[in-house]
Amino acid sequence: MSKARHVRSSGAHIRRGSRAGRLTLAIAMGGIGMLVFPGAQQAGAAGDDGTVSVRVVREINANGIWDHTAPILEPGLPGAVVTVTDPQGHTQSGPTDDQGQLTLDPSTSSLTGGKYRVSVSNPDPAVFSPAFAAASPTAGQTSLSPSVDFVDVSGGKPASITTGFWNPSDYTQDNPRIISAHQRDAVYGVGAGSVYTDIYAFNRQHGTIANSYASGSADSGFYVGQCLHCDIVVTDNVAEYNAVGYESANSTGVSVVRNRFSRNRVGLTMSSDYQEAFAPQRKAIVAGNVVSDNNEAQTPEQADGGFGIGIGLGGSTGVEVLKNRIEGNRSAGLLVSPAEDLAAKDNTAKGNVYAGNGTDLAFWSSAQSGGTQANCLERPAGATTYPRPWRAVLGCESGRGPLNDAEDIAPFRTVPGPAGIAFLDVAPPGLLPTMPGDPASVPYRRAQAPDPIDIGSLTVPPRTWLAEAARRSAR
Amino acid sequence: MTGPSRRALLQGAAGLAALSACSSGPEQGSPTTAYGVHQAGVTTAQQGFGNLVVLDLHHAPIVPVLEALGEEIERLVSGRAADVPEPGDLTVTVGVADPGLVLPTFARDTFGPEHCGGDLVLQVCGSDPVAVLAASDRLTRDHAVRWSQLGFSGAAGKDGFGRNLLGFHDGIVQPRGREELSAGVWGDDGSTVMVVRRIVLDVEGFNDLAVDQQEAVIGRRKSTGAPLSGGHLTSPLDLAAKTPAGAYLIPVDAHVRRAHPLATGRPLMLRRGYSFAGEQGSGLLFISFQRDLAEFIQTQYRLDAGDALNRYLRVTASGVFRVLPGFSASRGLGASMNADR
Repeated sequence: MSKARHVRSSGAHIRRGSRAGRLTLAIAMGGIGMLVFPGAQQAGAAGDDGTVSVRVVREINANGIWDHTAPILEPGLPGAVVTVTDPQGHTQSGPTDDQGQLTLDPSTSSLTGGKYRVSVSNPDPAVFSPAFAAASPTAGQTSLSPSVDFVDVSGGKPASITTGFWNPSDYTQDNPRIISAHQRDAVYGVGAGSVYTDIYAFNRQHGTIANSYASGSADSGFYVGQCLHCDIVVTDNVAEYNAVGYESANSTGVSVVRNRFSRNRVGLTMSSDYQEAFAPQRKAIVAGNVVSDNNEAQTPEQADGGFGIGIGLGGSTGVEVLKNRIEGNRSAGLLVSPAEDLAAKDNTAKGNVYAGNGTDLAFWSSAQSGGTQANCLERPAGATTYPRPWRAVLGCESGRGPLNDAEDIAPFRTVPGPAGIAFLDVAPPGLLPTMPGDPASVPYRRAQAPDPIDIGSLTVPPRTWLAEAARRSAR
Repeated sequence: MTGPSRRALLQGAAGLAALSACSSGPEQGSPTTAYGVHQAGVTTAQQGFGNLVVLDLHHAPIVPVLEALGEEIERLVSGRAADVPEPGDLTVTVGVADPGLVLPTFARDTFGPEHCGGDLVLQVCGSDPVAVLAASDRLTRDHAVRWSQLGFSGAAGKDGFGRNLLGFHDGIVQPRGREELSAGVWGDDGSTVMVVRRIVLDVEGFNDLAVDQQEAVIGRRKSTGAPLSGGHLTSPLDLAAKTPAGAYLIPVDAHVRRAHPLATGRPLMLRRGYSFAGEQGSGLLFISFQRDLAEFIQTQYRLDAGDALNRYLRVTASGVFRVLPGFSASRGLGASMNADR
């Protein structure tokens, strides 16, 4: 898996914005509008207009902001054609230079009125999409404008616009998966057996994955990863007969609530992975889920050997595991471990019900990641633990222990998993519930922030939660 | 030993990261110069023989020793030293102990104190082993040798890469070009961190495996060097490629997977090791150069935790040194040490 972050040639080979170049360009564009002869001011031109400065950049991480300092550099995009149009349809245009910049002076053109439409054409629609604008840029950040915007340069006021184009493969894996929760408000009723991941939200923000079913994946049934401020809710879904039911890597701000992750090899993981951007895994809520019997042999194998694990936190920071029913997982109900040099720290487990797991709560640490860091993993009465005894630095009941216990705890050994079966051989689900109403009538909407989750009102779900959507054998 | 040193400690003048023409890789066999922004023998195209010598100075002041070594090295590589009249492509690389550079104890370490530590390291390389040994003698004559090891490279095949004693291609994934070398190899002051590990291999035990089992241990085809994820010798590894049943094509414990830098979040180190054979056993004299020692440490932790090759190796000598910035006639090899003190 390689991140294809290289900058591909845009394919646009339009000459720079010299006078001759503009002439050539206007012809190349089909001669629509007026040919522009800068310097030769024409009758009716608004001689007192300010300049229109446009910067076109390569949006790399799809955050709607022009990132021009390390670690993410979003360079200028040369050769993007900028067209300024007045209400009468007169135009002035030119391509961006090597730095992705172009300044047009409407006062030297036939444009009149001072209020203009500015459009930037996509230099290569096969490669680029227009970038999204940031929902809420903070002070000092340059939020990207849409590729069509409006300026007022009357009275000599200059205007400047920064916009961008985005190639999804700049910052996504080169094996895009079956479907993505693509800044939409919901994905309903999707059931598919795919090679890797069924429902895959990579580098996405602001959305809900709900009421879906996933089975037969060699990676995970559901995946949300590589997002800062993800603002994604995953709710009321069923994942069964996958290598992993649900997986997050390097996400910040995901809530996984009231799902059923049952009969996979591993129920749910939240982990840090240097192979993708934005490590470590931070801040997430895993609440009110049924995570049970994740010892299923009739699935593809989990390639790293995972088996019999309910919830796994790997090198994560600040993940809250609350009010879940975690039962019948043969290795461990909740397994908290380091990933490379990233320790698991500040994670919380409270209000969960454990039963019939190989070990209910398991924790280990490494010298490589700086020993044992403080976590708050509540041990209900009767729950089994590794290590035994549960140490002060891990438990909640005795309060937080010392912040950093340099001594590391030897790795917890999971139950070895049987050989996997091909994803094509995973039995299909039965008839699944359909979404209410007529699916064709659901309107497409731009992303909306998901509704906030009221964790306080959640309760530990019954064993049968969402079982009607599970295979009969798995209820 | 204490924990890993996570950052390079020497912070010198910025802006010297440009590659010197002198150290960017001369043709094999052609004369070299000792002078440049960086010392020779790091990005120099690897010669056929390398001798690694770790010295004890026994509290002798280090700066005069370095100044004398630098002058002698320039005489040797330019052919002006009587002991080595035909140096060919000889290079000498000098590193010094640095209290900020400490290796933790790793799983397969089996050496005593006499085979780690030391005050100074010389890496003497060349196409002519006679010149390499003569130059080594010349340079170490006045010093106590703590340990040393002579190594050799497998001849490059028609694909341009040599093989190690296990019969597999080695040193394929390397930093190339100015950007990767600045990110992973050269410090801002022109220095670099050198890790040396004498790894004794159980060649016989490895050869008892069927070839497909050997390939599973390494993660490459023995015949072509192609990764098990497909392609040819220099194709990038596809660490995510799986069978329909979910198993990795490059096994989870394959050496190339465990050693791959992608999972450590660190840039790529430069490896420039030699094979060795003799009384000390046979194996790989691992030599790597990195800007930040963490590049090596994080990778070695990953190997310790799950490399299938661990069963066939043990480490019998080890060291970490700061390879000083390049030098010139007017600014000697010890100059940067003077500035630090």
